Formats: sequence, C-alpha cells, structure tokens
Amino acid sequence: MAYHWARNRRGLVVVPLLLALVLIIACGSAAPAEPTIIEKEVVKEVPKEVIVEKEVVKEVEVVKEVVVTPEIYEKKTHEGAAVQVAPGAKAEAKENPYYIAEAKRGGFINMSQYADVRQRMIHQSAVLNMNMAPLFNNLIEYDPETADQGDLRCDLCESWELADDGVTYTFKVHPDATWWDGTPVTAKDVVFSLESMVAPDQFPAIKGRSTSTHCNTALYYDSGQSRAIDEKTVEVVTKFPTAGFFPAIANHTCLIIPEHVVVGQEIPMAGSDMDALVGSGPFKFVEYVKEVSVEYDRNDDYFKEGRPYIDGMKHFVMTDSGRVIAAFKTGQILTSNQSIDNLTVAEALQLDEDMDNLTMHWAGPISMMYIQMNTAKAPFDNPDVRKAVKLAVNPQPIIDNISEGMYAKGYPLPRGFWYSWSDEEYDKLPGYRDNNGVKPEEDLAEAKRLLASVGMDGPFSITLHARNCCDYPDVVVLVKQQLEEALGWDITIKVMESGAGFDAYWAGDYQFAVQGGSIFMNDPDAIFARYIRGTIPQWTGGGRGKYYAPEGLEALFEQQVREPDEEKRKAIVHEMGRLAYEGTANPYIYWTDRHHGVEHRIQNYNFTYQGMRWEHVWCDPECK
Amino acid sequence: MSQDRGIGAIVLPGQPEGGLRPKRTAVQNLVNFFRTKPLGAFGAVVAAVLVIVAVFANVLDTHDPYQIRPEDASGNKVGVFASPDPQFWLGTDHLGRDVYSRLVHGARISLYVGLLSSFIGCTIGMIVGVASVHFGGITDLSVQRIIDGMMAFPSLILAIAIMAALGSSLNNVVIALSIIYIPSTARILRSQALAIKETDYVLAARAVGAGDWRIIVRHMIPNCFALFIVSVTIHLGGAIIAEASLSFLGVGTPPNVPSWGGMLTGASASSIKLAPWVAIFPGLAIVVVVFAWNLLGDALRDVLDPRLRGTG
Repeated sequence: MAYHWARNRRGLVVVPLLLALVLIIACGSAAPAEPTIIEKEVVKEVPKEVIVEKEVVKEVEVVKEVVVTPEIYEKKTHEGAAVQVAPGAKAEAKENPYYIAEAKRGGFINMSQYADVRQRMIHQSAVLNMNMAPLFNNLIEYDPETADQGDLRCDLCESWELADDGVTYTFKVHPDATWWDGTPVTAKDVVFSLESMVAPDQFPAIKGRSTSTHCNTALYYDSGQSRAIDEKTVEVVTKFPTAGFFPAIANHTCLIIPEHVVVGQEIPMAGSDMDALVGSGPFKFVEYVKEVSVEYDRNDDYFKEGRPYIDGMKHFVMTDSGRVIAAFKTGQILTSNQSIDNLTVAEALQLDEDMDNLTMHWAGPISMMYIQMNTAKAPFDNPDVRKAVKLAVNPQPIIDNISEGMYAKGYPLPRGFWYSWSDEEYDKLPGYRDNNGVKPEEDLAEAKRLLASVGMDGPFSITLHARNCCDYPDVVVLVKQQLEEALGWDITIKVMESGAGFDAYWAGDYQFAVQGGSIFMNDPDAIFARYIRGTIPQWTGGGRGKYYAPEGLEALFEQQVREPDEEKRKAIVHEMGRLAYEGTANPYIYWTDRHHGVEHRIQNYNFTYQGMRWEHVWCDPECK
Repeated sequence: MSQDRGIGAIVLPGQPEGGLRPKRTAVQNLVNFFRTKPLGAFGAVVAAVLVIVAVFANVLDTHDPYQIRPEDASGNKVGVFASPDPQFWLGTDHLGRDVYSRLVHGARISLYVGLLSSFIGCTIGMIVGVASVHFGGITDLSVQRIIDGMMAFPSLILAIAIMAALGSSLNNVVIALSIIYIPSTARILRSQALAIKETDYVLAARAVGAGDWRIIVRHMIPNCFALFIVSVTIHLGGAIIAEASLSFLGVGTPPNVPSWGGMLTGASASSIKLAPWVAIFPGLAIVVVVFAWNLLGDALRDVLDPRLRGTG
C-alpha cells in the first residue's frame, strides 16, 4: 500500500535512467586527460634572516644607536606603509594592491580561524594565541607594516637601549599605555610577564603551566633577571649577548599581561575564560561562543592614537576546508586570522585562481612535517632502527603528492639560508638524495643492513599513528607505503582524534607517528630549540617529563647561541645539523610554506607568521 | 497428472491434491517475490551484485587499490586526480590511487561492516529484548531505562564517541555500529516478544517446567526471527551510511583503507571541481546500495510480517 506509486514498473526504468544521467554528467566533465598540474605564479615572500642583528649585538655601540624615538614611531605608524617597504620587497610592493597612502576608518572584518581557543593559555600555543594577539601587546613586535618579516619595532615600549655590557636592556614603557580597566601598563607588568614566560610556577594562577615551544624567552632570559627601575622603566639582563632575545619576545605568544589581574585576582588569562581577560590591545573582547566564534570591538582608548582603523572583527572557527572556501567565495569572510586556515596547497592555489578579488600570500619555510619515533619503546629505542627509517623514507614523492612539488625537502637545516650546508652536501645526503624521485639503491641497502644487524630483517608488524588533522592522514598513508615497500614492514595506521592524539603523544603511548611543528623564526636558535627543549624531545623521549636529544646537541646549542661571530656560529650550526641528522628521533620529511588569503578590500596587509593585531589594516572600500 | 483418489476426490489436471495449495518451491517463491515486490526485487538484485563485487573484488579490480601513483601502460607513474580513461576507468584520487579499484574493494568494506555490525547489533538487541520481556518486572524496567538512555544519544555522535575511545580500525567501526543498533532492535523485538510470551505454547512450556533458557532459546527467539531478519536488512543500509559517515569524518576506517566514506573525505570542495569523479562515484555507490538495501528490507518486512502479508 505504501508503495502504490512504485507498483508502476516504469519506475524501475526511470530510476536507473536517472542514475545513468548523473553518471553521464559526471563523466562528461571537461577534465584534463593528463594529471592535473596547477601552473600559477605564486607570490612568495622570503623571510629576512636575523644575522644582521647578530652583528649589531656584537658591535655594542652600533646597537645603542638603534633607539626608537617617539618621533620615529610616529612616522612609522602614521605615514602609511608604502615608505616602510624593504628594498628587497619593492618589486612586490609595486604589484601589491594593498599599499595606499591614506588609511580609512570604519568597517568590520569577518575572518576564519582554524581551531577553537578553549583550554589554551597565553605564552603556550603559537597558533591558538592568534586570538589573543589583538587583545594584548608585545614589548617589541615584528613590524606588520613592512614586507620584511624580520623587521622589529616597539609595540608596548616607547624606546629601548642596550648597555655597553651587551646584555642589559632598558625599555621605556609607552606613557599612555593602559589596561582596559584603566590601570596604567607599568614596568612591573613587563617584569611579571617575563617571569611568567620562563617560570610560571611562582604564580598560583598559572602554576603548572608548561613553558611554550614558541615563546622562547627562556632561551635568552633567566628568571629574576629583570627589574622595574621606575613606573615606566624596566631593565632586563639577558643570559649572554644575543640577537635572539628580541625576535623571541616579539613572538605573538610572548604577550605582556597585567600583574594586578593574574596575581591580584588570580585570573590565568586562558582561552577557557575569555570573559575574564584584561588586555591592553587595540581590540576588546566582546563574545566567545565555544567552537563557533570570537568577536572583538575597537578599543577606543587604545594608546596608539588613531588605531585601530576598523571598528571590530569576528573570528569564526572553521575546521573544514570546504566551509572555508565557501565562506571566502560568498564574502562571508575576508581573510583568516593567521597563516593557517585548513586549506591544502591545492585548495589554496585553486581558491586564488577562482577569486579575482583575493590574493593568496605565501612564505616559508616555517613549519615542518616529520616522523617522530618514540625512543622509549621498541624498536625505536635502537638508533639503528631510527636511522633505517630515515634512510627508507623518500621525501620527494611525498612532497609531490602533498604540495604539488611546492614544499622543500626536510633537511635538518633548511636549504638556501646563511646557516645552510653547501649544495653539494645536500645533494649527497643519504635519506634525502634521489634520482628523479627514485630512492638510490645504496640508501635502501643500508637501511636493510641496519635492520638486519639488529635482527629485524624479517617481516615486522608495527602501528603508525597520526592525528586526524591537517595533512597527517594523507602523509601517513604515503609513509606507510614507502616503508612497507622499502623495508617489508607490515604497518597498521591508527588515526586518532586530534586532541586524543596529543594526549597519546604526551603519555608516550605510541610507537611512531607523523606529526608537524613550526619554528618561531627562521634561525638556528629556533630550529634547534625544538631539539633541545619543548614538546618534541618529550614526545620522542617517551612522553611528558621524558627527554631525548642527540648526544652533544645541547652543549653545541649553548655554544652557538652565545657565539657572536657568524662564521664560527655557522660552523657550530653545521655540526649541530650533522648531529641532528645522525641521531634524530624525528627526521623531517619536508619544510612547508604557509599561505594567507586576503581579500583586496583589506589594505596595508603584509604577510607575517606572527599573530596579527589587525590595528594597522583598514578597508577600502568599506568592509561591511 | 491426475489420479483417482477415491470417492469425492475430484482432482483436476494441474491442481494440487486434496484441493490445498501445495508448498511453493524456493524458485516459485522467488518468482512470486519478484512479481509482487518489484522494488524489493530491484534491491535484491543490487544487493546480490554488491555481494558478488565484494567477493570477487580481487578479480574485478584493475589496479592495487592501495597503490599510490601506479604505473600506466607506458611505464609512467600516473598523476593525482587523473581523469577517467581506458586504463583508470574512474580516474585517480588525490594520492594517485585508482578510484575504480578502490570502489570495488570498498564494496567489500561496506558489506563487511554493514552485515557484521547489523547482525551483531540486532542479535544482541534481540536477546536483550526477549530476555527483558521474559524476566519482566524490575529486570524489564531496568533494561528498558538503559535502552531509553542509549536511544537518547544521537546514534552517530555515540558512534563517534565510541570510535574516539577505541581508535580507528575496521573492526572498531563494526563494534561501534553494533552498539548503536542494540537499543532500537531490542525495543522492536521486545514488542514482538510481549505477544509471544502470552501464547499458549510458551505457557505450556512453562507449565511443564521448562527453564528460562529453554523458553527463550527454543520458543521465543525462533518466533522472533522474521522481525529479526527485517531488522538486520533495514539496519544494513543504515550501517553502510554510518560507516561512510564515520570514515568521512575521519574517525572510521584508517585513511589507507578503501572505504566509500573514506574516499569522499579526500573529495573536498575544491577537489570536486578539480576532479568530480573522486566524489561522484563513491557517493553514487553509497546512494544506490543503501537505497537498494532499504527497498529489500521493506519488501522483506511486507513478506515476513503476517499483518502486512498480501498488502503488496
């Protein structure tokens, strides 16, 4: 009875016909007969190396000249960004539609963010603190108004000065800087913030919080080495003369937070309690809807006169790329709140091609994809097994699959920078060398010999883990195939929910996994900080509280970070690279570029790896 | 053939003896089913095709479904998102794997997950439902409240939670889906068991001192089989969808396993534009197969349920 419509047997003919029609439409697509190759000119911005500043520190008297006066500050902030473009970036600036002299006020920008902020705390997470960046300030910041990604300028400070000893900095805090509750930002806040970055356990509200792999202040600064000279003057003594201190504290995770709130009111400044945040930044927090959005309103009392230009913004959590693409195309969002947006390389390139009113900015390397092996569990407690894995994996085919050949091989030291090895050394490096994508036989033979030497020359079953995020599920499939073909292993893939995956890594409950990470600046300090301290050694060492680093690497790191002579430092860095290559438990597969899609209405934008404060951008025509 | 059966026995040529309709042969039943239930027949044919494809996947495939960028006839590695051609009938996916071969092997995954999870879930559900009725009282009350609690969870969310706890693997998908089918089957079979419990033969068995186990296994469960078969069939289509959903969300089968839902995961918005075949074929396979199983399930329900028998 219920199917009287279907008793008509014509239905049996119509249904298959309809299905056939769908098939015909599908197959009739004007798809290319050859594998798809996306040819596109990519706007790639190369990060500035920080070696110049290393020299500045060595020449103490020169550094003393680098005092940012209020006059310069005014010029930089109010004369528009066009005059601030570094010489090397002029060519791009000419083509870049964002540079105009006159800023416009008003407008509201909607943007995507790749994950939620809950349970995240200031100073802990680089990517998720993108939400915090507009609410707070750094003492020093990467200048977002130049195309030079290494250029630093005062943010909360008004000026800085370096003493003749090369380690004592004196900062003047901006006289007009205030917290949202009207309390002035003082030197004591700066001292407290530096202490909270390196020794959080001394404050009950943030006790037990780990120091971050991104806010690397502790590399250069010891607890107790700063003091407030007066209400607006703070003195900071670094461990040794270094150019790394400024780039480290300028990172967007190293925010200055109010002592009277964290200590006085015991509010930890965490993503889980956004309503309680008290910042000094250009935007005030309006509303946080868990896993949906974070909304901001213009801080009318912001200490930088005239800033921010826009009235407000909203960051929407968008965890799947389809939604991000649709939101861009329908104008629901104009950009993302950082250079991570859940789009794959192919998707980002395609979106750039599809949208005439959007530019996809690219820069790198800043992140890496690697295989992490748990040195506390068999068989990866054996260095020969780890070395065999490194030799058996062939990075180039993985790069071709994941990024259409765009990413760079994951050498321990990225290629093409002042600290890099010679081209000849790179081309001969076992594990990374290949012949048009084909792994040399001698690398595979050596991998098998190493395994045979530890009695693993027969079939071997093992589980390869990955978090259900980003490119991991695809990379893990590629790694599985390569290792099975090269070593004859039987690999079972276990993909975990992203948070559960982190838990497993922290607990050391895995054998080996595919994981990614990023560095806070393109410099050996940042590259090797990941081996020396932070999360990665703990994971490869077997979980929380455990540790692993190639023998001798730590000692060399301490040498290089203190070494002012470029050539000597380079030699140390090369040796560190070799140690990392020989003994690493997390061989890098590739270095990634990052992209950031920005709609053309947003003006004065420059690519940055840092969390954007959005105080310097304006809309023309208006963002509604 | 006619025979003289004695006085009063009038048997016409071609008519059954004694005037009663003879028991139909299996073939006659099948023909009758196809005649009276054409949509169900369509479902049965598709289901049969699915079984054949699943069983003979190794014969029907053209490439290794796991092979990334296999070589084409000229010895070159095929690219990612290669469009359909005589060698790669349904093109290749975002890792350069043959979509047709993955689709064929995906049928095996779908059938394995669908059959096993619906069978296990419905079997446990039937035992729970029948036992709940048989013991009655506080047992029935408690079991039904637990079932109420389980049914209050959205089934897919419950499956995701179970998968998050167990980890992604094919057998864990079966376990997760089996669990989510228990409450609905238990509730359906309970209603049948309530009627059976009051039948004379159950009362007679109880009167002659049959134990609980004997009454449940020998008298109640066999009389619930018709509804059980319908439940399995109807849940099977749902299980295929659920497996596809879990894999699409990335918490189902591991990413290398060629499941239809997993194949859709690689087909995000831009990929659909770039390579529509990556999404269309597995999507179509899911639609057709689930549609077919549902038609078959409905038809079986009509045939096996005495109240609906003959309603067409």
